[in-house]
Amino acid sequence: MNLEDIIQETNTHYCLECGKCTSVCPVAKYDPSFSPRRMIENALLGFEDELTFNQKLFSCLTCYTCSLRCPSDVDFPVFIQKARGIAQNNGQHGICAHAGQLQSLARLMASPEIKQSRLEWLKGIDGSALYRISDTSDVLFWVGCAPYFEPIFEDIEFSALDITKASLKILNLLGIEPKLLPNEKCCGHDALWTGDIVTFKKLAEYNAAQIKEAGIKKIVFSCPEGYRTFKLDYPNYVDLGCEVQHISEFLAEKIEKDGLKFKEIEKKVTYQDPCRLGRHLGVYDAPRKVLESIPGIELVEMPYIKEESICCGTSAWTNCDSCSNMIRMQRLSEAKATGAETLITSCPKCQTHFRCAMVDKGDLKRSMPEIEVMDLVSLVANAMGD
Amino acid sequence: MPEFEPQIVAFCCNWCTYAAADLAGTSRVQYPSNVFIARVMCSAMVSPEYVLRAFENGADGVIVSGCKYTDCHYVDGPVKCDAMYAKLKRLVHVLGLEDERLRREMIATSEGTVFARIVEESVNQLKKLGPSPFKAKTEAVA
Amino acid sequence: MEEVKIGVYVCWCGLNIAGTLDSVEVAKYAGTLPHVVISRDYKYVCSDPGQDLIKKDIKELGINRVVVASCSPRMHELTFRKTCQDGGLNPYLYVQANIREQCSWPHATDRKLATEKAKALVRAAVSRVYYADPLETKNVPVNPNVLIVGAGIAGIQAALDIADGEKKVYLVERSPSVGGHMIQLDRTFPTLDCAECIQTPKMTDVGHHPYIELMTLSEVEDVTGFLGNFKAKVRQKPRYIDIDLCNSCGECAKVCPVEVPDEFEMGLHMRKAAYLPLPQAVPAAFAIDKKGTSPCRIACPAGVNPQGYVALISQGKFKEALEVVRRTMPFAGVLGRVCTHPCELDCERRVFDEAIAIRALKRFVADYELRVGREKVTPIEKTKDEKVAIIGSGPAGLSCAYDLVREGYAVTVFEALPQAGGLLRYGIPEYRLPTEIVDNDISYVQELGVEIKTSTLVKDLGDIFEQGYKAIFLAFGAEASQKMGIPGEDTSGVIYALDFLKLVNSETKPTLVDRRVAVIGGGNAAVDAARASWRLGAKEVTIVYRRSQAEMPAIRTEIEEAEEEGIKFHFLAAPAKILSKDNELSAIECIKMELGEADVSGRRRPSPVKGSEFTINVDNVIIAIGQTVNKEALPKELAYTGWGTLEVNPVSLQTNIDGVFAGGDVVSGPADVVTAVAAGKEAAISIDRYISGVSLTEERQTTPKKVEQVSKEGVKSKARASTPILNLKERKGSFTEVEQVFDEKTAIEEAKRCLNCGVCSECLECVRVCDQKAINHNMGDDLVEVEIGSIILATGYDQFDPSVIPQYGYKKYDNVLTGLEFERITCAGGPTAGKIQLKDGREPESVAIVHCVGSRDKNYHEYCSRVCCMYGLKYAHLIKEFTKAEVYEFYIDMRCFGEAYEEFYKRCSEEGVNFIRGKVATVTDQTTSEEEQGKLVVVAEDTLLGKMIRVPADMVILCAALEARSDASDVASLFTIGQRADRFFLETHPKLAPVNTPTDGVFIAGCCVGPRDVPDTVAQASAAASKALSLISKGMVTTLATVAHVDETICHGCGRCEEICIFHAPTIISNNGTVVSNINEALCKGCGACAVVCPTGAISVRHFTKQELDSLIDGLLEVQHA
Repeated sequence: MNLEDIIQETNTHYCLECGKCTSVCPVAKYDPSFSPRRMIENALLGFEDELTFNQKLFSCLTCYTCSLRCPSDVDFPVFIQKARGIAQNNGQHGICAHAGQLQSLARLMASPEIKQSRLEWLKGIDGSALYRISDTSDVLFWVGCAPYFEPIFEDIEFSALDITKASLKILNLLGIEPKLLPNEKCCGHDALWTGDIVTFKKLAEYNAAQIKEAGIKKIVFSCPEGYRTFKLDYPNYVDLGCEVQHISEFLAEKIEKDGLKFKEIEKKVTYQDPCRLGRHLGVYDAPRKVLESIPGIELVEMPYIKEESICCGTSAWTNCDSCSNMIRMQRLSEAKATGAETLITSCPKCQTHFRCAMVDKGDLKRSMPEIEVMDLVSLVANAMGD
Repeated sequence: MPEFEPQIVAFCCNWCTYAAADLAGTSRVQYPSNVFIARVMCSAMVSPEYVLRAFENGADGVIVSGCKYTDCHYVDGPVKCDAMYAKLKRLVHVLGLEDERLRREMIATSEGTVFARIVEESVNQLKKLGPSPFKAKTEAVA
Repeated sequence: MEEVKIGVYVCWCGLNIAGTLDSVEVAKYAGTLPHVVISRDYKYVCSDPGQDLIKKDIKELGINRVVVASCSPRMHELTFRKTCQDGGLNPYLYVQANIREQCSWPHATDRKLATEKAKALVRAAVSRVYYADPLETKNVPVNPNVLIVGAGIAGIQAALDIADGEKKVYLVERSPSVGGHMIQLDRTFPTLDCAECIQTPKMTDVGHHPYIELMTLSEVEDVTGFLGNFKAKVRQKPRYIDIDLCNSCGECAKVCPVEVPDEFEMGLHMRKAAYLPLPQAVPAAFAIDKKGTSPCRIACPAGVNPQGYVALISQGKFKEALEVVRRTMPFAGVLGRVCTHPCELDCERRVFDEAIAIRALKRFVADYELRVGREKVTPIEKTKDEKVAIIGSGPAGLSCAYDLVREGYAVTVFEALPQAGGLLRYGIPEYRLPTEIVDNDISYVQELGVEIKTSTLVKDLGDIFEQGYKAIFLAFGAEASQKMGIPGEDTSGVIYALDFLKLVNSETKPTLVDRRVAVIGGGNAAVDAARASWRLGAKEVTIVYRRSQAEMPAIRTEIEEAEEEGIKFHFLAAPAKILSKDNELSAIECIKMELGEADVSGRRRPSPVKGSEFTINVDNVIIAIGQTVNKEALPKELAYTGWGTLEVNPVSLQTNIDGVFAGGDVVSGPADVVTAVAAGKEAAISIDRYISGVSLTEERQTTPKKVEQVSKEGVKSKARASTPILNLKERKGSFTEVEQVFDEKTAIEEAKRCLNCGVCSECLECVRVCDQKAINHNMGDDLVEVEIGSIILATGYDQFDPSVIPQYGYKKYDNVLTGLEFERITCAGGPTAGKIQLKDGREPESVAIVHCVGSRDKNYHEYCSRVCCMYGLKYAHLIKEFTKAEVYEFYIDMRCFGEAYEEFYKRCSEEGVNFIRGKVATVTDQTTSEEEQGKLVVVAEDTLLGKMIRVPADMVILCAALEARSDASDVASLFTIGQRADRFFLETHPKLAPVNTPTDGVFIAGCCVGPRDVPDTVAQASAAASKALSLISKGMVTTLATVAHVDETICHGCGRCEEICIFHAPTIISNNGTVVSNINEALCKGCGACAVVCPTGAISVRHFTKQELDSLIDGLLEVQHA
């Protein structure tokens, strides 16, 4: 896809150069050299290299703060996504966090012949099954990258699998025995958003095929990124033919319809809207509904929430730079200021980034505010007893 | 159809294993040509990413080899390498790769023959195992 | 960025490469690779014409990246980097492909495969060099000073080599003298010249060399910086003797009362706490050995120094011992009797058998003075103008006066009663504390110049100040008796303990003949009153106490003696009323009590049992339920606590009135004498500070360093001497003292039991005899920082302790010795003056020398200690020369490498030494035959004859292994160097860099690297010295170019890099607001560990960046893509 098509596809040519995007951009706030407006300007003037050879192209969080404000409805995140596609072809891929392991893993999973062993955690040490799953079920639970995160993020004491396990526990308690794909592949979210379309396509195809074959009717996600990718991106490449839902929505439904009740947990919490779940998909109320329905939980909101909520500072494992860190510091201070003891989020990536920011090993300490970070489902699982 | 020739990337630390490989050559010890050495300063320099990348590029096996614990030029490089390797091993396992495809060795400067033996061993093992599942991908790219 | 033009040069290396792979084809192939503008093959690229090719292409074709495919970069990387540089290209824009060692040679059999692989290697080099960046190196000046740690022969040699080159050396030695292990040796093999003769000159040179700064008793505490520019913090422990003043006359050692085993003589005989470390010590000065403050001294509230006077008593120096007591307080006689002796509770000897009878010994010296009479005391001259007033002449008041008068103040003590002493005189009956003793102690205070005004009641403090006193110390005590507040308390025949005891201690003692007396209370006053009543003829004395015996605050021994004297005890009973018949006291009605919860004092609180009343018929009741402060007697303006005691600042003891201090019972409430003394001393400090205008509270608490552990080695158990006691008959009706004094012999014996916990007892006898005035017991640690450019570690070895091999009977049998012990025995200056003899002085008839003790043994040390065979032979020779003994060498292999060693071996065998090949199994005293009688038996297999043998020997010498210092790991981490599995320091390369370490500028020499003999050690020391000198003469060090680098726009400052780097290269700094990692390039070694843990990708190692390594990997494997 060339720059011209991108401009067409994303309404970029309607840009009024009003600069609103830049003025609300969380990155621009800390990195003056970063300006959505100027990037679009470069594109419109046809300065392709200025745009695609610029390291900053990978600093955009694609968090949709700008687009939601844009008077001309320019889809800046998608504009960035596609522009990165061009950059990739020129061998540009931004500064990869964690040395690029996570990008590599995605590419490796895109290989047809691999047979992963990604579900070993389902069994306890004695080999007994810890969760009830069923191969015949038409409800699929999406495990996502969690098994790979486990070794990579142990040093920040973050276990993505805990979220997966909590989700399974919830489903089981609600009498659902979901199917899990033993060779599930990366959803491709990060590949897509770093412009690695080749890898993304392959992953989408492999996943779609598996899901079809299994006759799945509904997929439940604990990760907003997978959810977003299946809901908004897969349709452009593959035919899935089934319903997708984020677990917070699923729970909200249960509370609404079946009057699901929780046991009491005394806790003052605040809630972080993940950009994918929030601005990308407009899911703001479901998670709040769930929180409010847990007796004893007091939800205190931060100053910027929902459409205005501030991102966790990095997306797609690229350009996790000093300004990402400052964005985190701002968000964590806001969370701390609410007086909440726990920051609840419903995205594993938010949690990774916030936790990482709070790991401080230098002798000269950064003044990073400390607060417990927890996934919504982990809290719910506790509230559903044992 | 010719016999499958595995490709091995060996990350060797400059001070011990790389020197051992040199010694093997100097003393004309013969070993299969399937091994390709990437010279690093210390085994602790090998990020998991480099190993993953080697597999991604179609390596059938990878060897990470450096000094023994007590003769590290940087005092405790091997310890740090072990920590890295432990994570890597788990990643590679989840990917569904056979354990034999990834080896951690400690080969001292004087152990040219050991180096040759280990290459020999891995080549034979990998021939039994056959090509790495990731080859398919890289060929697809071509 | 400028267009990348790569030049590739494929070397034939004659036939080394071209013989087995097709260099031409490889070069052709390289030509097809992206960005390669020229690709050549050449016979010898490393030859001058070969290198010229490259330079020419750089100039003419403008190539800006170079790849040479040839031998190993470990061989020629530097050569070709230089070529590039000469050609005008940055040397780091070069990559070498190793197609010889790693291709043509190991794959010589298949030309095609080898060629293919060579292509891959070249391809990888090309794709990598594309991303190469130009790098610069920096030059840093080298500080010409050198730090040498350890002053054994290695340290000495290195120091002299460098100093003779007129460069400054800091020589740091942990012990008080240089010399190390070598100076302990008698003779050195194979030449047999004596170690002293050859080492002493070097030692003295070190002592006097203008370029050597010798720091003994010193240890390096911290090292920072890097090659050429280190900073080291050295802690110098005090020697307590001024090196420059000391003329080694040895008087201090003569008078020193403390003896400990002599380390230099391997504990074969004793030395004093003030000692000359070794005969040829450098510096040639005595030292005083202090391990810390003894527990007894720390336990004493008044800070008296028991170890000091006990040590002197053990030497029969009673007068001096008393001086030691009086250095702290005047009440030797009093406290020698009535002290509650916390010192004995903490006495270290208790963990072994029983505490030293410290109190009784104190009393002994006090009584000794009474017996022989006190020498004339010269009053202390008043050096200060200010006067101090003290009100109350009890223990608190007088101790305060005592300290102040010795500070040079004029001190007046005001006492309301006709005689001084307070409770000492009026409160404690004479059978415990005779009046003459109180008089004697007080008289000493007076003779020093303290004026005591008795029968003068002070009502108004204002008057005192008007009389010109600058400060006042209030020590009224707590003399008001507590009332019970029960009916009938005012009946005649009821008396309060204090009033009663006052009467008892007065000339006109009351009589209680045939009377029944009840004493109410459980404290010392109660027991005193009871026992006094008994002595005054009472026919029945009962102590009524509301708690049980366990809660009685009175001194145990007092209670026991009271029981002996037939005093009855009525526990768990409280008087309810005092009954009288026709106004004569007739009985007390009591009520039974039971114990409830513990109260604030930790004692269980009693409560009455309903309806359990009962009566005891008595004629007199003595109430001893405690004393309080008598507010009426005290000046109005003072403030009080809730307990009715005076309120003072807990540290300074100052009252609410400026310049007025208070202490003793008036503040603490009734307490024991030594506590009062402590308070008096504390007040003295305050008053001195107050008058001289120093802050009353700042830097006041000085907590003495308690001695850590006390060696009990060789201590024989011995019961504590008990003091003679008066028998009951003698006690009845008499007030003569119950406890009697030690006789001199017992006192000395008892004092000898002291373990001398602190080693030096601070008796200060040495100070008295040192006419050089060289001794100062108040010296403290010095922390010196030195700046140096390089460091040499020569920290030596420890001798393996054979007692961990029980079969060899070391420390079990007297005549089983280690090598070093035998060295001392043969040494003319040693404990036996060089005479080879057994513990009992006999000359041995047969000696067994056991090799490889702890060496060449998987259970202990696998390595060979390298010196044992030779010194074993040396011993054999000496024994042969000086005795008629048979000598047996039990060896596994004789290792006589080195010049004239083998010859020496021959010589010994010719001298008739028996060599038995076989490792000794056991050394035992279990004899089985006549000839073995009274000897040790060495059991082994003679492996050459293949039969078990038992060799009877009088003396067995164990050639114990040399092992790494017990604290080697601390040193290793302090200087960031490595250790082998056997814990010896690790050299960079065992053959080619034997004295280098991973930390540039830190060198190692001698036995800290591994067992060595003297010649090797000296050679290595000189090697290390030359390394240091060459650094210095170069004057500059070039920093590594391939070091870590931080992209500050990305770094979060999370500190993972700082955490993982042992060379402390990265540090997190605040860079105008943002916190980022900063690499000290001089410290960085470029290992890349930091880059691996960096989560953001901010850190990369130059020349090994992610791009470079990625492209290298891609290049290696690209074959698959074709």
